[in-house]
Amino acid sequence: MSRLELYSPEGIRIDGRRFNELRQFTSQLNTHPNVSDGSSYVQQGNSKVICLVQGPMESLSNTNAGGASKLDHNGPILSININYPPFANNVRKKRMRNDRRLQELCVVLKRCFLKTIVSKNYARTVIEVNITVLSMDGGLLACCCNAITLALIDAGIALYDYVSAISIGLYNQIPLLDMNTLEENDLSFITIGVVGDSDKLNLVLCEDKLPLDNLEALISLGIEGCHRIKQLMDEQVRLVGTDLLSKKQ
Amino acid sequence: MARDFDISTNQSTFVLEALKQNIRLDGRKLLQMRDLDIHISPDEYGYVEVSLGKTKVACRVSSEITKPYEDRPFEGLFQIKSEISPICSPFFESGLTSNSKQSNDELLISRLIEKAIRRSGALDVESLCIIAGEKCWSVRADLQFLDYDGNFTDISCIAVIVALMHYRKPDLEIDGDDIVLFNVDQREPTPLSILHIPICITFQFYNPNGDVENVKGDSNDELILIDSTLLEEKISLGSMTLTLNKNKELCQMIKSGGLNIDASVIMNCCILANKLVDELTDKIQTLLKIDALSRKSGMERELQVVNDR
Amino acid sequence: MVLSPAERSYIYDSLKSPDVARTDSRKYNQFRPLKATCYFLPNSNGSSRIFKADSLECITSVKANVIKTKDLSQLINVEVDIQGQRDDSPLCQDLSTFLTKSLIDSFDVKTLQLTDKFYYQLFIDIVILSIPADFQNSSYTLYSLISLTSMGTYLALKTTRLPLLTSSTNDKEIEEEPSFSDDWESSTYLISKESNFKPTLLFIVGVVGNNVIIDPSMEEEEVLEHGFCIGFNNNKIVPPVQSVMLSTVDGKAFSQSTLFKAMDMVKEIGAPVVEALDAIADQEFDEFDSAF
Repeated sequence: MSRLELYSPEGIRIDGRRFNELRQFTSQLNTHPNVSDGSSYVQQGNSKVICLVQGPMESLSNTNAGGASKLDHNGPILSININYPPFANNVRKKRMRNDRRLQELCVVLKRCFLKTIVSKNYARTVIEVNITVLSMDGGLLACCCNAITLALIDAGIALYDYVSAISIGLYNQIPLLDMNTLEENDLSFITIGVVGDSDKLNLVLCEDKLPLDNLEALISLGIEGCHRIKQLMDEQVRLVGTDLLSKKQ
Repeated sequence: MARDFDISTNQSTFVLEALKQNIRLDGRKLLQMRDLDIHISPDEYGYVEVSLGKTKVACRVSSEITKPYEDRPFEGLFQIKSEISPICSPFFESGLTSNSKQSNDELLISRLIEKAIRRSGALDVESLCIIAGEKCWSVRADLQFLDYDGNFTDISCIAVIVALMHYRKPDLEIDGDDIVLFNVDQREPTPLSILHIPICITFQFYNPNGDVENVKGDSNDELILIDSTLLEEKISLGSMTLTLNKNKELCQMIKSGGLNIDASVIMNCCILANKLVDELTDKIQTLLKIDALSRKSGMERELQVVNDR
Repeated sequence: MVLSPAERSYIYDSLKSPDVARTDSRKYNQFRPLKATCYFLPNSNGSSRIFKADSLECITSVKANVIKTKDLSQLINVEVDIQGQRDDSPLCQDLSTFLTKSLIDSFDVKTLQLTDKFYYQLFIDIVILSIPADFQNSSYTLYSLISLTSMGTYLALKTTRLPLLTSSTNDKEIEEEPSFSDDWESSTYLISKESNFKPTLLFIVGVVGNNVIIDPSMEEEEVLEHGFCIGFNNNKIVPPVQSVMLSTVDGKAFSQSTLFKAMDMVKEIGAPVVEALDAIADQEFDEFDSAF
């Protein structure tokens, strides 16, 4: 593996950003109005994700969530599926349907959103979330998390607040915000999800070795990044909302 | 059919109310662990039973010689297998459908141990290589959950790492293309090369003021406790698992959903976990040292037999 | 979808009438509106997204890989993934083989040849996002998806760009891996603008009485007597020309004249469809919507 200069002495990263800069974040709501109750499309740099939400509904429309047919009397049954087609990465790679890493991410996301949805409103219902990763250039969990937030909002499901997520890596004591694939391959990173404008974390996932002393710096930079993303998502939601309102009148 | 572990409202409010007053049902403080008991099998290598209060797991490490993966000729194989069976608790059932809650738990536990120990490089897989691209050791750790009273993750991580540290693989000699394997009696078996000792600490979070307050309110008075029992785990509103080693390195960290926790609280947890990990590591190391002393080398053992006669 | 006898006979009669009254007031040779975009997958050589009004959406990606081979049949691989269906479900597999066959039969292998020994191997991955629930259980889903996926594949192939080959093309004697230019600006199209070669398009035609209709909708499928799957390439009808069962009921035989009628219709509409698709492919990096 060739040694890449991930962070130049001048403080420029491999794609020309500074350490605390996000990649371009664009999002769209209601991209698939016919197929789903709520849909969204999130693009962070070259990572592109589509998210479709069905529900809240009485029971599962198709068979892929099989066993969970029992309804919960206290809150919704949330099923999250990540579809990772073979072309999403730079090198084509076929993934098994029961890829353990993806399944883990699904469980993590599921638990995260069960606490974010106002669950008492959706007792005995099913909410189904399907994510399709069109192209992945780092920040898989963060992208999925942001896409789900937007799609749930589009589906009109009551949330306590936005959950915005971002990945932060560490390069020689310097935290780097919103990593791309090249950086993710060589550096250890964590993904955090922040609730609204607070400093509270809903989701933390770290899979690589990281000095404990640096954790605080990573998290505080991450929180800043998450707040920015929340702001961008909020702008988009309000834009779509005003548009809808104007059509109604 | 696995039954759900149902807790009556009375019971859960009772436990919560007690927690608010800093009391746990078994008399511990909130941030106190149960007694850790590690039983190392006296007459073989690589089998340990670890118990933490009533929770109990067993781990056996075994090894064999195989061919390494083609894309990684210089590395040995290492895998951790775990399965939760009804043996530990009637709430678990073997061979469940993929979407049930239990299989989710199982998935998370096995991924967590995998990340804590395998991905963090606790076992030096390159040292398992015998002949590059041809022969290597394949080490396998089998986890069996024996009794369940909460906190599977922490205990299973300890069990696996202690078993690995205790395990000795047979010594061998390379003679041209042939490998000569020596019996335990012929030559002293060699330990695996363990680079660091990752220890998991799981925190459970409770909010005395209820769910909604946590999201909307600004106060950070969540109750935090470690090493929860089954009852405490069931009424918990969120959990976080940290994996640290003595070098103050974070090997893995996961907080999936649950209560939203302020970043500063998380940092406090980290500091606390660091202290606990230091204590636990020392405990494990002294224990293994004592065990090593009590074990006499193969030669000595044989002589002992002769002497006895 | 279950229709009542009254609905069924109403649709059947109106389709059978000499001036072919379709439920959605289309002409017999008119498609439902389709929208398509290209060039949106940065990690693929070529990509397309095509979606129908009834919410079927198909995303196609083309990736190229350099291999050394003599077996030309492995140069094109099509894989279809339908959300909510297993990879090895008959629907996915049938669709994959169908498309692979139709492409290999007509593909101009020269466009894939790099040097004397090396070829490009194409991986065409198709993802179908969500099938409506009442659609899913019908075994005729397969045939309705064919024309959509084949258009998606056509677009993706048309927009596939490959890096410029910089090493010499003759490696009969020398053992040398081909090398490529790093500059994406100088990349070439897999199918160059001048070349006459075009990938095969597949059309699904329904038959009712003596009438033929293109792109039958779900309601129409219920009453069809027969169906054809017809390949179209360079203004000619090409194989596969195949009879397909589109409906569960009244599977009647078809007469020779209806087959010719269907082929004539495909010939007639094939060219405008190709033109429209080419127009979309020519719109670079643009959110271009077209309805045809």
